[in-house]
Amino acid sequence: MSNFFGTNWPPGTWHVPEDDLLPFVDGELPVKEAAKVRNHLEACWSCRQRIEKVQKTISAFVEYYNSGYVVGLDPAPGEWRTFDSKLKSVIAEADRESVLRGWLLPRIAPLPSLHTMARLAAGLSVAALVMVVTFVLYRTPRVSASQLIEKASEERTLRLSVVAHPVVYQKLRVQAGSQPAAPVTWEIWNDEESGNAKQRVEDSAGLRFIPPERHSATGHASQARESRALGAVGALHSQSSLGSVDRSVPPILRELQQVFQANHMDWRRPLALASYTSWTRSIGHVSEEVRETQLPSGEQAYVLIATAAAPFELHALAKTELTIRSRDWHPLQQRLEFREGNSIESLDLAELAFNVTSPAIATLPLLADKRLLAPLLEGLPVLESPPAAPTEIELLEAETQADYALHRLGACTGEPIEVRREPAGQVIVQGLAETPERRAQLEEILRPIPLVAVNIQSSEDVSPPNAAPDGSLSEAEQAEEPPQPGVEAIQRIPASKSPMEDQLRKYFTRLSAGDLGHARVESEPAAVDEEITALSNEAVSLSEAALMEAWALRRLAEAYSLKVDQLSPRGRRLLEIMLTEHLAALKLHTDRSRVLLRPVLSSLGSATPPLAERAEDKAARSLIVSDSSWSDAVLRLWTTAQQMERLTAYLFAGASCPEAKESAAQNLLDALNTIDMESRETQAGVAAGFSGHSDLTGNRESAAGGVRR
Amino acid sequence: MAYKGVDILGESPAAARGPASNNILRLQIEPRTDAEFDSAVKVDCLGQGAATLEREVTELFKRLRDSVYRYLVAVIQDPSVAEEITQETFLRLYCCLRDRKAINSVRPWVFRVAHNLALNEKARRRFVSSEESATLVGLRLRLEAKLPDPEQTVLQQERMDLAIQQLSRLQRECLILRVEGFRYREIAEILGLSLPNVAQSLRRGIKKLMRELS
Repeated sequence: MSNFFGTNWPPGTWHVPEDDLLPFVDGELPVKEAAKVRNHLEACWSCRQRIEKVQKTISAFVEYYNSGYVVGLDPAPGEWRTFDSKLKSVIAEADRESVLRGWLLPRIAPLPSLHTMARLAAGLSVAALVMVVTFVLYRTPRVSASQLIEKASEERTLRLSVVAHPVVYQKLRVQAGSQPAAPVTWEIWNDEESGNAKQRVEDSAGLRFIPPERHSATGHASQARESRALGAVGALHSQSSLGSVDRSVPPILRELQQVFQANHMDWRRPLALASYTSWTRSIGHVSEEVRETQLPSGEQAYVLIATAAAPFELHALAKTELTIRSRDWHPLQQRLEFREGNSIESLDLAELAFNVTSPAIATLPLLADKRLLAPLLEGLPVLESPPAAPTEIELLEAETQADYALHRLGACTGEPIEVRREPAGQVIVQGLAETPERRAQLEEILRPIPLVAVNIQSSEDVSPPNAAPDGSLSEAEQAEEPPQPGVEAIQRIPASKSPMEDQLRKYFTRLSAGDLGHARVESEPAAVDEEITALSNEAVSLSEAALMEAWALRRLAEAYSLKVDQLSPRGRRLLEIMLTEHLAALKLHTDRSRVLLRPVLSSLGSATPPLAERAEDKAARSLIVSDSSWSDAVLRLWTTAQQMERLTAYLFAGASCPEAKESAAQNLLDALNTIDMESRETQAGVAAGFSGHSDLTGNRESAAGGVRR
Repeated sequence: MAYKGVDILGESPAAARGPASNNILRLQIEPRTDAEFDSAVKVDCLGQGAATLEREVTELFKRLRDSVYRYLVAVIQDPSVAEEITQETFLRLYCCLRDRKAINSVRPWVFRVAHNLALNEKARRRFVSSEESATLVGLRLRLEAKLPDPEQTVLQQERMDLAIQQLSRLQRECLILRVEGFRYREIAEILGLSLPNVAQSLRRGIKKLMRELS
């Protein structure tokens, strides 16, 4: 019998069948047969040798796979960045479906006796009904409770921050849920800076002011805040009369005040999210739920429903429902359910008017002449932004939007266009577009942005471009120019011999001499020259492209690193997108460079053990400190990118450089690796720096139950 | 190496308590050997709901994605598509666990889904037959830079490249899955083949390599 091993066994002797060799090695033979083979191997040198051959082949393949293929494989191009968001959208979809499924399944299952068609019809009609009900009543909102709270608080802060001396006026209707009693109108003027406040009520007994809080007239906000609840109690309980004003506080308001006090809520900021969070914090655990609803006006709103766990003390809240308008995240009404005696009572607050006064009105002595001030405030339209010169925040927002618009059009990597702030309070985008079409394109996207003026000229408008009449530079030209990648580098093809040419020639000659699995066989020097030119060209243009991305990153870091805190959530998001996209592009270019240049460079540079380097890379990556400042990281990246570009220009385009080519090659490899590492680090920094402001599409669980990124 | 025992005890006593404990899953992946994972992957979603499941699937994704990705790159030769399919695979894993469908062992399951998605994608894109000979070869240039003795290594790699080109697609897939640590039974499950078929593919694959390398 002859087999692959060329062995001719004498007749009558048993040897391991060829088909059993691999299964034996792999432990896949049945126990009995495996034992037989094992016994035989002890006796038979030939079979042992055959087994070893199989083992050797396996080893060769494993080595090829692990140390060749796997190590050589680049990281996934998108670096798995989209997985989290995809998973979240799958989860969000499932959330939406789950309500439907919860209804549908139990209703279809108990119909086994019906004819299939009838069952199907019944199922479908139930499904249709449930779908309608589900979508009308229980539309799963796109915001979580915590996002809603954050958003609404932020909006209030923002609204107050645009006025120098904010005075908040709020008019509410207070109504007991269980009693048909007439509602009470309650007005509050709240001087946010001094802490002073004024309240007025109107019910069947007429319109009257509530006496000032005893402890809060000190003019200091913090003291006022501490004394607020107590002061209000005093005010509401003091039934003494003062002048002609009826001082009695409506019982319903007194009850409301007790509820506020018992639940650590701010009496003078009803509906404010600060009151709500102060309550939730005081009791530790509440279950929160967000629903979408429609206001009588037809506007969309969210209802934040919070339920506390029993037992409840007197006046303790069992449940609240806070309605927040989705257009501007403004809280409009609240239902408070609380324990009164042995039952749960409820009170409804509905906002009739809300206004933050302009600085001019706020400078009036607020509490000195209340009768004069009140009508002034009352007359102001509800929820209208106060007229004011653009604030720093608005200008910054405009600047971010302009930058983002340019980013979208790819005008941020090298086009001579800049966004700058005018002292007069305007953002100007100015510069030079290559063609009138480009100018029109840029203008179209920039014009709609508020507070932004566009002053872009096309090169045809400027005639001739280089001869300004007075010989001075235009403003755009004075602005910092994007880097001009080495002039020598632009010549691209080595007119003179580049330092790498000999090396490249050797490399390509060797490559084409042996048949390396590619079908290409070239030995013509001309063909080799072509290869060298192509590789040099690509190396140089990749390094230039990478440099441009690094430059754009540096510009963003310089423009925004100190102002990130002032940015609106949207502005932050835009900035994050710009940074992330530039980083990804930079990484893409350098990754390509590495793949292209590593074989050539490593044969020239001193041999850093590549496998070890890979491992170090990985280790370094895992050690990246995520809280390093992203702007510092960007500046480091910029320095490395400059070095990378300089070395590439020297090695492949013959630009001047004092270094020896061997060390330059090694340094270039190092620089490429460093950029890879630093761009990851920067990305981590960006993620850490911006993660606090997630967008509103995240699902509820992720926001409530711990953030993961 | 193999990982055994992802048990989803859908009908645990807690599940019977009522609707509040609907999301009850218990996954336990215990390594039979310590060759692949540093420590045991333990997924315990008991009573924790969707948030926990999401976290655990993300964790599984992080642990398994690289091996799935390199298998897919070898199969379809396109890193971007391989990345897409890898992610899609784990999204499906999430849906499957959420719907409390039984999964006996996660790793073969993941590879099977990834493999099928890759086949679909290939059919959709009408991949040319060149992939038959191209697998693993295109990476040679990079290898030169990474191995200590390029000259010597290139020679070895070339021989292995040539040898691998002689393999059929099936033999190659079986060999790669075997290197990834799957037993014959698991490979059969992943590729949708019979056990003897897998054994034969591996045997013939090794025999061809042996012949080419000797």
